[in-house]
Amino acid sequence: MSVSDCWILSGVRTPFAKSGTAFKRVPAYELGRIAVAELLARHDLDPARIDEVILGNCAQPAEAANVARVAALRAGVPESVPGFTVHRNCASGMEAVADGALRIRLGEASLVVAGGMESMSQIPLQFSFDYSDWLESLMRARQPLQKLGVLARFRPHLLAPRITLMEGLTDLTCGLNMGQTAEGLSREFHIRRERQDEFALMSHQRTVAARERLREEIVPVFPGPGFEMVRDDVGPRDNQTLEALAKLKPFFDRRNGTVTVGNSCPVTDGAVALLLGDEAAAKSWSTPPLGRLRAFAFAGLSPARMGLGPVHAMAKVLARAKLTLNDCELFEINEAFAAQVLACLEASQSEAFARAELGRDRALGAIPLERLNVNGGAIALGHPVGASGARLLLTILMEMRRRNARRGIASLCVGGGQGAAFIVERDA
Amino acid sequence: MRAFRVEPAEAGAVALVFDHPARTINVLDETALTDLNVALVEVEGLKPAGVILTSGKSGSFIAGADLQAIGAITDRDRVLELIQLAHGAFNRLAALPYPTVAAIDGVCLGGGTELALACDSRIAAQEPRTQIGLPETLLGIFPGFGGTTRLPRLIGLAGALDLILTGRSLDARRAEKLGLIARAVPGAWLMDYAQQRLAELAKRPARRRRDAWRAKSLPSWLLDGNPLGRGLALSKARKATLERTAGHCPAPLAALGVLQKAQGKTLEAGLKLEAEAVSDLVIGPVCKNLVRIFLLSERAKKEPVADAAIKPQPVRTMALVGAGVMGGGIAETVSRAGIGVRLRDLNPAALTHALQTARGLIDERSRRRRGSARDGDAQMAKILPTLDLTGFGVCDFAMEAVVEDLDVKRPVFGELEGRMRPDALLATNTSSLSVTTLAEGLQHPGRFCGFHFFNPVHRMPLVEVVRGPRTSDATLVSAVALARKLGKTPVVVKDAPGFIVNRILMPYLREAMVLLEEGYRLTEIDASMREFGMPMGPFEVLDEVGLDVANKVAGVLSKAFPDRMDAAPALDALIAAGRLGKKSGRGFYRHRDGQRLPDPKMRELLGLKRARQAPSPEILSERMVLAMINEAARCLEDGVAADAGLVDLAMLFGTGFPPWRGGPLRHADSLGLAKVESRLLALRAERGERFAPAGVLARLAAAGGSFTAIAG
Repeated sequence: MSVSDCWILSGVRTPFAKSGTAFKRVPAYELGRIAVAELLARHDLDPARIDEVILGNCAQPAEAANVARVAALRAGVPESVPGFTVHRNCASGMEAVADGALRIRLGEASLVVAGGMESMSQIPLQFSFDYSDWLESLMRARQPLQKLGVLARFRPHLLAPRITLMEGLTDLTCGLNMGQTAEGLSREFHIRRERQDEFALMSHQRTVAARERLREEIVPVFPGPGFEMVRDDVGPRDNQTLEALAKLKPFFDRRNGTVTVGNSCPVTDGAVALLLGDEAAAKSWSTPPLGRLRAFAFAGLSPARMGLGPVHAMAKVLARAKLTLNDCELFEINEAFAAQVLACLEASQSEAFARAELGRDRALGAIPLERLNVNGGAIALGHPVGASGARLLLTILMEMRRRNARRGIASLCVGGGQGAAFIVERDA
Repeated sequence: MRAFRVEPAEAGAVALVFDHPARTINVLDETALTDLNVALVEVEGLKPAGVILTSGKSGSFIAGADLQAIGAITDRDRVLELIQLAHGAFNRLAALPYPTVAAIDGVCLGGGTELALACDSRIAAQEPRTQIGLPETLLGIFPGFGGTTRLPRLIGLAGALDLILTGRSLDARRAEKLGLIARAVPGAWLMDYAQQRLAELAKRPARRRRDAWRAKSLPSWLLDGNPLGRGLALSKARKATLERTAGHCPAPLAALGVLQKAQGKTLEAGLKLEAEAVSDLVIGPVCKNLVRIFLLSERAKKEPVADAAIKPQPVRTMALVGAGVMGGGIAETVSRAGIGVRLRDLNPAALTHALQTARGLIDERSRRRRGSARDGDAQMAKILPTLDLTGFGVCDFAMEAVVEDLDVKRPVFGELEGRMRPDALLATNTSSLSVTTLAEGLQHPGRFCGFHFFNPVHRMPLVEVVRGPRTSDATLVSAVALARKLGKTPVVVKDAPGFIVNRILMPYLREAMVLLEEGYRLTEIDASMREFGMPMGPFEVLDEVGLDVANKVAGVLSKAFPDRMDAAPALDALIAAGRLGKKSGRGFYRHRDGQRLPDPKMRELLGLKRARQAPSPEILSERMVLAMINEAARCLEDGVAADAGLVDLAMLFGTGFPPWRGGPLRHADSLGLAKVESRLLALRAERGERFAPAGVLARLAAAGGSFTAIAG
């Protein structure tokens, strides 16, 4: 019962700002609130017309359970419009779009706000369970002597915090940090440090060159406490050099590693909001819609090799759409790590990989660098995990409009061993 | 139908229900007091197990005494008679031999609180609508229906002094903390808890049934439980009151006098003292002025300004153009009312400043515990800054607050008309430009009006809603409703230069500058007006507002009324020297660390001669006040406001004109119009044409009339 295609009518995002910088004191739901409110404002859209608000978020702040709902209400979306938060790790922003698209295709919604938000600055430190046990026994102690006894059991190490940001970036099932999975891929596909650094440099150069273009998708934000305007991404370096990149120590494997903070994406804050609509909404829309969602797919693989997720997901979605890579004019692969993107490029050209892992007899195909991440990527502008998936869709659709391109594919790797890939189209 | 009825309640108790047949809210007027006596006779006949005093009006208890009557009454004996009627009925309630409980839900003010105090115990609904207090001193009197005598017996002298002298009201939680009520309970369970309270009281021995103050701790005994502590509390309260009112308000001092004299006396003796002292105050001028202003402000808050059938258009979101001087303040006030603000300015730095201002005001409120941090964040989230016009299409109301320049404002309205819905309203916050001129070139001038806030927006209660010649009734009604929703008091004015407040203020400020040029000292001129009762002297106001801003208004007014508001050379000279007032650190004064210091450089700059000593402050203030009175009369004559009451109200709420003087026109009446006219004529001969009495003033003086009726 396919009722309608899902259209992406419009989208905006906040600038992406490296954690601890411009958005340090702005919670995730505030970033989401700004993106959603500005999206509505751009089109003078009566928020009561929205059927659902779906936003991705990974860190899910403790004070805002169902953080998407909080963001929606604060953005002025009426209480009668429902909303929910989705979490598919790095693909949360894409999961939100997928969820919206499914509802639209089934005819259960005609207008959906979908996107993602993340404040990695505000991922908290936690006390250990030992400390909370100690606190509990202190509270239970009634007599002064008992209290004294508990107090005497205090040890400074109890105060050692759990750094939940690092825990969140470490896979529980394989025990590897995301960066360590990238190190694994660099060894498997023999991607040397120099190649990774070159790729990182390209990301910065492309992002810097695209600054004016990126402003078309960015809304200026005035974050507290100072309320100074932030108009561009905080992260891309105007004068990044190979020499500077080469000086950095490997971060995840200090002795023999190749992955540095320079050729990885920085921890970042930001939010994206897209407006999805059905056929009728697209037809009556005042401006030409950005594009149409042709197909999407999520794929699973070994958590230790999560960086190859895009290849698995692209193979799956292309099969689903009965298309090949050659049918796509533009490509986005999220730059979690330079090593990981380069490994994907190798794997998609490898017939052996296709046979062994994708169940195909021929390689997926080549992805030309000059049509991949043409406006730079997460190594320069950052990866606010819950938001990036939606950002890739927004960025590729805006670029397709500029180039008058017909089809593009956006994909990303997902911590925990998954991949996501979306094919978007527009009538050229 | 009688105002009080007796209904059976549970467990053999009865409910004594106050439901005034002639009013929407309960007021203790003469009828009500008479009916209370009748109802109490009925209760006595029934011999119930207990009595619950409650209101038949949903969501409100008793608003107090009849203010219309207090405003009109001039015969002292009659006042005394009414007070004795109340005392008789309240004493009768207090003397009932079975437990009595007041169940309060909603406003319980003045006489309402005093009636509740006559019961053995009180409980109240813990809802935002509940407000318990004795605001009488704010109206120039003090609680005279037994409150002044009964309250200290319930909550102790220190607490009673605080409530009676400040007139502040409490929510249920705070009332419980202070002991004014026994318990704050959910509104839905009010009657159940009232029954429970009756049962609790019934268990007490008859002599100790009534809730009463008891020292709970050593500090409370030291303060309240012995004559020495009480004496100290009284003298401290007297000092604080004198400081606060500068001796201009007789009511708090009279209340203090009664509380002092009643120390150690019986209830009956206390009530007698109370009745006599309140009777004096009720017929006095300060009470009449304050009651009149209160009634005027109630009118401005409620009365329809056009055909009552026209419903105001609801405002959910507002477009605010211009994040300049007032932008942040307006955005904060509007967002506090739950209205979304799309704040637009071309200059990002202006937006930054406006957001900082709004955040600062919000933080200040939460520091004063007037709202949680969460509320503050949610309010801040309602302000959405932008550099472009996106989002304007869904706004219901657009407010223009860009610089006071016709050539800047005009194109803004062109842009707005292009982007806003056809049914959205447009308004300008101009203080000096003509609303009529601004409306020229609009496609739909009917939806346009002036909406003039005063600075600082969060504190000044007045909004001048300016009706241009083409403004539609529907627009006016909606603008007035918006002002009310923002918690402001709207005064509808005709489009005339300076509207009411700035027009009356300007000759006053001009006169201050003339006095300065004549050689009088800056500080003495300011002090004379503070002594008159203004919160700030004229030069302090000028420095606060900004000399450039004042000069712009002065320019417009001097063009409109060249005979009496010629240009102010002093302002030009100081502005040319870069002295813009507080914001630039120097104006008439030198400003350092929030302090105003006299500045010899200013005298030098203005070429002022040796300072001259004024024989008395009144010599100075008289000229400035007469300038104000004369211009107020002209405003009335030109029909800028519909009546004298609105002119007075605007001056009180827009400039802080001393409330106990009742406004410039009321003040003129109490001086005597014949005297005002003769002083103006004398000053005209001495100082020039600007003092020529307004026509209406001369006519009224000749006819022995007055601007204002006693009560209205």
